[in-house]
Amino acid sequence: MRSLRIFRVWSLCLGLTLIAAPSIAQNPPHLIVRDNLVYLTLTGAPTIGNLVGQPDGVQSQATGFFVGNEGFILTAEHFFDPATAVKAVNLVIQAELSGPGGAKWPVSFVSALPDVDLVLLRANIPFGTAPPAGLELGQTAPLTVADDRDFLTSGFNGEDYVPDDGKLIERGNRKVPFAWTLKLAVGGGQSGSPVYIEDEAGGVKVVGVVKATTGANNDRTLMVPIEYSMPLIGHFRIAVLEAKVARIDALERQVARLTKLVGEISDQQPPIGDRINFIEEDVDQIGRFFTWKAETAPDGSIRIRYSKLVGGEDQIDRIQVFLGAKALTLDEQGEDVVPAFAKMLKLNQNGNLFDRVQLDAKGLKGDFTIPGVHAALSSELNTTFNAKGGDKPFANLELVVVPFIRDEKLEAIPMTLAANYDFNLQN
Amino acid sequence: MISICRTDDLRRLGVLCVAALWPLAGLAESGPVETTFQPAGLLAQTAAQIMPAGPIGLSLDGDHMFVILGETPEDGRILRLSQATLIVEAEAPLGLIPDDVLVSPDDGTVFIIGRDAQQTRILVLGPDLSPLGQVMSETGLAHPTLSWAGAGLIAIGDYGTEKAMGDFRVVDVNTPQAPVFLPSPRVALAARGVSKAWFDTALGIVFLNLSAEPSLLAVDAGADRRVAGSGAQPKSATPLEPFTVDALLSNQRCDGGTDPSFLISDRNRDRLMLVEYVEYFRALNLLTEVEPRLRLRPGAAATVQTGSGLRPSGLLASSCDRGVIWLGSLYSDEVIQYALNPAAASLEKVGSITLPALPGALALSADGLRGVAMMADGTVIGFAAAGSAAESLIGDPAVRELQRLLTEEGYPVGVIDGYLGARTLRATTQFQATQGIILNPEADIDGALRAIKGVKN
Repeated sequence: MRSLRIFRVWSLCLGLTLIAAPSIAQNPPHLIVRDNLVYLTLTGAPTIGNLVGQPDGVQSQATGFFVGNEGFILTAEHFFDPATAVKAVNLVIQAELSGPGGAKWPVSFVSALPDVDLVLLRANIPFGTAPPAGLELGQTAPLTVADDRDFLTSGFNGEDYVPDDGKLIERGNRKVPFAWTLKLAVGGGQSGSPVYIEDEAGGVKVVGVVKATTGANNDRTLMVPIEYSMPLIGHFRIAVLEAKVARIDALERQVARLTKLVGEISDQQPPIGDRINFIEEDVDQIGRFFTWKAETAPDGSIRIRYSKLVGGEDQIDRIQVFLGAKALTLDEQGEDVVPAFAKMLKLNQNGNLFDRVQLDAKGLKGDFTIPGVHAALSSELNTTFNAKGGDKPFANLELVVVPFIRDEKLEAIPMTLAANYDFNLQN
Repeated sequence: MISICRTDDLRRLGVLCVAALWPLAGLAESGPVETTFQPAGLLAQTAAQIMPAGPIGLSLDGDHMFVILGETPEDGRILRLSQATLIVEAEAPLGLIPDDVLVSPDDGTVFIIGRDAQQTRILVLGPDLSPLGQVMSETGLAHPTLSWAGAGLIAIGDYGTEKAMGDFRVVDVNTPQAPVFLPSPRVALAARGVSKAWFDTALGIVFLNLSAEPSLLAVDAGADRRVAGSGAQPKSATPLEPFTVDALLSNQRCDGGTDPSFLISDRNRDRLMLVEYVEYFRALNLLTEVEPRLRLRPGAAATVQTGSGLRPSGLLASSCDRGVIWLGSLYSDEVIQYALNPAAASLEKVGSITLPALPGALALSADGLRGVAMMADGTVIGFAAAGSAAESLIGDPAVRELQRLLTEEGYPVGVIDGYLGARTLRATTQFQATQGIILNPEADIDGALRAIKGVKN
């Protein structure tokens, strides 16, 4: 365990000092970024105020961008402020790739750093659809005002895509000490947009996240340096470096030296030490951070996949599932009735317990298959009186997954999914 | 063979953790089973009494029943009656308009919530109705209801009004002389208005029966986060009345079950549902539902409007093992008695009681041996178990047996009532199609029974 911890520190050191692999993209910088931009919308039902209970009584919009290749999205944390202000419930967050009208995916909250106005989200991307590759992360340390280089950004002001560029005018800000000040004007919905620079190979490196505008004419933009997002996304760098390292024993010798070096630097530059500590804690948690998605499959099963950010011993070995079905019925007037409560389906003879069927080579994805769901739903339909039937005879399925790591039961994961089966087929 | 449960899971899941891993008794593996279930018979009238007014609330405890009355603070009072004779044993003025009454299952202490000109108060009385203490709410509560949470705590649901949101509060009554409103847990969803609330202290879950829409929600009290339950908005502009819910929390069940259980009367859809909250999955599971089809009194189909919505018209009472269940309505002189058949997780209709007038409240003792119906006009009628169950059951016993067998095999017939109706015939057809045998229960019920038992065995 100690060697793993040191390895992570070493990896971080490399992440802070090495130059990442050159981008293979040859497109203009804004086009490279646009493929990784998302138009984020949030709706929710307020529990206080004048619109209590209205499903879309509160709304918010922002820009976000993909980091890593697992569907993670970084954006500004104040995207959630309107919902927080009215204590909204039943939040629905959606991401549209490359802007309004693009592929639309539901989004889940992962983690946040409210003090520096950053939040990490994750798009629930369907099986078979590859997430965007994610933008490469740069470093702000070498950047100075004197360089006079272009700082680029792009995002969505309302539904309009707006690319722009400007200059760095201060590595800080009087009102928001952790933010840098750019001479650049952005619209309200552009909060969360990436700020990036062009690298020598024609690619782009993200060096910050748009926080807000300031100045007399809103002609100044505050940027949160990308390093402040390390507690949220530092593991992506570590993961990249892990893939490049082959010999652990050789690394450990380097680790001793680099750890000492980092410690010495930390004494002089506390922010680096702080970041390392953050990442260390975060990586330990991330080893047990699983994200889940489920989908109906044409063979009548449900496929459930978990993903994690770092491989290792902690894998989900088996799951026990609650699959609740609500068969739609017709009332005496012939109108649809959606039952208030779901009925649990019996899916096997083993208490709805299923072993993992697949684990990818890196230990980052595990798959489960729940067979016979279509048949169980059809049976439920046949024994439901006044069932509506038709192509969509069920309301969304209520799925609860109880994961087990070896003998240890983890917290139940609730999900919903549409019963996308052909109910005209016989089972 | 695998073992994946820890000790606390084993306690909650019974024997499932070693091999079967099946958390719900209603879905347990079914081996050859003889359907020997016999529901308790219809309760029979034993006594009647005339009260000066219709009831606001009614609660049974041991040999006594407690009735709260009054539309003004001056009229507000509580009566203690003998359950057997319905004779008034004690009476006390309240000085407030009572909204609900609750009797502690631990020591018989009586709690009343109500309001005077401005304040909402909880009064604490001894079993003899002597005053012990009281506490005022810092805010006014609209149509508040009480439920016992265990550990000396009471949960309060607040309906809310057009001007004020609903709320959920907890009161510590461990010191009856000085009850106190606790600062937590608080539940943000309660702002939507609460017809009734329950706090399962063993699980840390708050259950809300919302007043503005027919829904039951389970909320993690520690995180103030909904973990289960429907919260759909009404689709039509017509306001829907909330559910009527009879709840048994995890520490209140006497049938061996540990997960909270809810009987729910949905008068909008005319359904009686039995729902369990499964802590293992943190999900609500519909075990069974039936269509009661209560006989409504002509011209009585009004609604009860409050500031924030409708009040439920359904009336429900249950013994703690669900062996005796009463379902009624403010608009029907019929009370239907059901019994839970635990082997099939289904409801059996035992029969109907016809009341002399429209009821205002129903109550059953915890053992199901006594019941009380109080009419809106103030008439109180006592009921008690009498005679053999078989004599009072409606329908054909053989058909009832057929319905039990089909239900246990996973072919629900709706309510088990001894009548060969459309749902029973549909379930028979499904069973035939699956098993590849021919049943003809309309012509040969005994032959059909033999055939199904043959398949089971």
